Amino acid sequence: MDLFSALSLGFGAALQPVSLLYCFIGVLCGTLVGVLPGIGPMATIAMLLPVTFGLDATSALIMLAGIYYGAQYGGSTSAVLVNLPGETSSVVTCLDGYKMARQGRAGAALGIAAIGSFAAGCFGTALIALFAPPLAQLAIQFGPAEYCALMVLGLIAAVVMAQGSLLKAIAMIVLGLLFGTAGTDVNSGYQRFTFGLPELAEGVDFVVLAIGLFGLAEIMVNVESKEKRTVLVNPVKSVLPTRADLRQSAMPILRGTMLGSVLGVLPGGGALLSSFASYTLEKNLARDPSRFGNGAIEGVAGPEAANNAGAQTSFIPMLTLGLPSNGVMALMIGAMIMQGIVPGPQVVSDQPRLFWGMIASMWVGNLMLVVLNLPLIGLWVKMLSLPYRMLSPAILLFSCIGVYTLSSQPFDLILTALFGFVGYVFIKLGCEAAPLLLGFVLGPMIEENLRRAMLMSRGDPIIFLERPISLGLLLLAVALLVAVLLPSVRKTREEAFQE
Amino acid sequence: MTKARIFGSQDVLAGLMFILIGAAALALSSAYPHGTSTRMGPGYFPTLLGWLLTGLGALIAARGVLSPGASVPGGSPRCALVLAAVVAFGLLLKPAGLAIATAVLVGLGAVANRDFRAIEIVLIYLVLIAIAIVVFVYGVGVQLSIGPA
Amino acid sequence: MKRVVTTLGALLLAFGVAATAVADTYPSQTIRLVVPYPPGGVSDLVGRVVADGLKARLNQTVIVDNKPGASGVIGTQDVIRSKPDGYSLLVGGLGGLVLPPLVDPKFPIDIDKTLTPIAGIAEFVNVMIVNKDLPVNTVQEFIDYAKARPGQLNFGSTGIGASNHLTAELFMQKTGVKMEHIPYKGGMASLNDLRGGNIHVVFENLPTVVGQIKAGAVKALAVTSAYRAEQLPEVPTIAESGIKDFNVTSWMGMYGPKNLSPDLKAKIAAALVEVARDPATKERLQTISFLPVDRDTEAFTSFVKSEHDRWKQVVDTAGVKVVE
Repeated sequence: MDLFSALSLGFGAALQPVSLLYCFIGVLCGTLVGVLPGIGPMATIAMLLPVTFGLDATSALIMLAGIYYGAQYGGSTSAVLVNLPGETSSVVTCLDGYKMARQGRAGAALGIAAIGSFAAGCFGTALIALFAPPLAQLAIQFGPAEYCALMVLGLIAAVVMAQGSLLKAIAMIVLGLLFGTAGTDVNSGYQRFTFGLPELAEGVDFVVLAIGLFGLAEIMVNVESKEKRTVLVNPVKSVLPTRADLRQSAMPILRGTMLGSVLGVLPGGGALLSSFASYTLEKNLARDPSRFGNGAIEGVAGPEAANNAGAQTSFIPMLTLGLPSNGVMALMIGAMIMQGIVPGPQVVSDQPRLFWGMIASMWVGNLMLVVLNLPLIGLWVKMLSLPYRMLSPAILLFSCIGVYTLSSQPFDLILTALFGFVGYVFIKLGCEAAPLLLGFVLGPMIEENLRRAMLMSRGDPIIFLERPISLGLLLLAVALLVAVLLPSVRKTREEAFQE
Repeated sequence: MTKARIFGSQDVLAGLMFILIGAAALALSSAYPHGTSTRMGPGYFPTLLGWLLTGLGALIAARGVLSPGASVPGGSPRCALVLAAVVAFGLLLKPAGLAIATAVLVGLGAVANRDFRAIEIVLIYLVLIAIAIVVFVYGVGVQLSIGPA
Repeated sequence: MKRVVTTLGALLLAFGVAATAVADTYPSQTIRLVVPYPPGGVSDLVGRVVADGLKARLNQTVIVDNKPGASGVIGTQDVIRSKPDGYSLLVGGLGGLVLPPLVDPKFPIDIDKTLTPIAGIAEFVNVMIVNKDLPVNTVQEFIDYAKARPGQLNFGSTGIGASNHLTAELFMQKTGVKMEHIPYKGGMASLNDLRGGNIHVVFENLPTVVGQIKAGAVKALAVTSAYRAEQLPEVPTIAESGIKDFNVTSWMGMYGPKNLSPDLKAKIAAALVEVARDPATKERLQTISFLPVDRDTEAFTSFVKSEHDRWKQVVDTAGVKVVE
């Protein structure tokens, strides 16, 4: 089947009124759960999965997919407005997005996030249509050694991301890695750092950690401050991004899209790594890197585009290989099985209407999302001008309910409060929380893949160097490290000479 | 360079915190099997991280002693109310239901603000509980009882 | 003395009447089938098919309640703590209830003392799959290939003590082949590495790989059951391939809290057996590569016992333990 007839088949399926309806329900739900902290696309899809068993396969999958990429749109909203990363991938958006909001540029940040996501979504969809099979091969090329190298690269990127002291940033990453080891060890089934608590057997949930470190800590610091009565430091300027904003963001969006598209294909941390990677890239390319962390619009545009592109392309291994790249995709596979569709490489040829219909629906869904989200921006921005004393109970309540939905246990809320305290201490001690979160997410994957790679090579570390992809990634990591260290080394030397 | 500056230094205290956590991790993971580099046990990676963190902490603290830099900004005990609100909400939600747990959370959370006003808190509560019920209980379908169980 | 006996008798009688009365009116409210795993997994899929079947037979709403967490422990404990009134039932099986206590001495639940088996409901086979470029086409060729490379091949699993890990251990014990165990998190991660050639063989659940096999992405050497799988009629069993008494299936059954009355148990078991024998159930289970089994309480209880004993031997021989 040529691409044209494939796409016309796909749009034929996706533009059916019933498909449009479920696509809309999906992206609407996705936006909602994305905005709400805690309840992620994973939980929502899990809750809605049984409902979809009554639908036909195409409608069901279109709706579930909509929830997933819709949540990526929504996730940036709470990150920008109140420093709450609604989704894992929007941690990075907090860094500059929230700063922009405080400078009265929330509208610009949200607008550029929506526009960037839309551009990335369109590109990602086109990429799936054109190159899904070869990209899927990339996923298979990645074994434990490659993953390990990729994660190391990701960690180095986290160091680059740091704003203050390099040493502190590294310490925070290590601390994140350490937090990540809590729970049941995959290789041995051993319980680590669980203190005998069954609630910790699966480790600390990312949402608990993120809401504690970012959301609660921010509220605590705001509550203390003497003068400030709203989140805003400066009055709201324009509601939508200006021409200059768009011009400044165009290239970051493009680069973010490319990065996200490639990383999204990789199972595991791909989609998450992409937003971190894009941020690092933009910071390194910027003429004045010090703007990052203080409200640089490129720091929102790039990562938002990257995470949405990654969300789109993470469908590739699932659709073309039958291999899910993350938990959400595993749920989609479950949905397929329940619909009587055998997941696997043959879905493309056996179920062309489903396959192409889903791809076409992603484009339609992205269009719906941008139409849905842009008008909402005005409303969100207005909300920010409420006095903080009114806003903070609302943020607290939504965060708490969100955390509670994770496993319906009071323990999670107590743990969130604990991490809130920890985050508050971090702020007081001038330690950045973002590198810790990246370490936390990457830690278990690094350890697992490192141990797997060493088992496979029977203990010979040469495995990381003799495999071309792994070697390439490690060399890149070294180059990045040198690029970061050189200026700071030079600076210290200059300072030394001046004294 | 006074003693007070060193003890109030962000770097010194952060360094000490990292050393403390690193040492705790080392102590806890010493009980886990370490294995060999081929067959790493569950203790291998955490022990490595524990040493790394302790070392980094020592470096950071040492640097802080040499040049103390920024000192820790003061705080206010009111921020503990925020944490109390979260914990109370967690403990109350199942036995007392959403309405009561939210009242306690909103009450504590609002009082934590310096410029709170009593009437406003009641209004905020009414608005929030309505949103919470519509969005979470009916919208998302979270299994929560509104009144006491 | 006589009065005591009479009172006791009367009490017993009353108790019996009450129990029958309960069984007579059961079910008068919604029945909850607790699946201790997230939606979309194999337990969940089976749970939903059975829930639909029970709904039709008991004329009562039957819902599937997913309570994931701690590898199934959270959901299992939920049922253990529920009233033994037949309204909270557990979908459990080999992977969640029999194998974990065998390999983990610290496993938090004593299954025998806290749960009661009601009936068997379904099973599926595991398939021995290898990378498609591995130069072997039969089990015997694989054994020869592996024996020529002792300790050099890798097998993947979904974690220590998982059914696909222990099936591989059993295979090694019966054939004398030596391979390295590479554990993965979740079912599909190992498939990616199998296709990439990083690991050589996996004994994977049929439902998750049937599509891969049909598309030729991986090579199926044999199924682990005593019978051939209907989805893969051309693939022989391991026993047919020359390894005697090799018969492994992953099975699932229904459990209740410990003190479930015999009447209730019988009533639920009867309904489950009927569901399992219904051709409609068979058809629905088959589309997801399962097979219904109709084991009543007695058959299921002794089956669970024999499975426990058999795997205990495998675990002890291989020395598989969570804590070294």
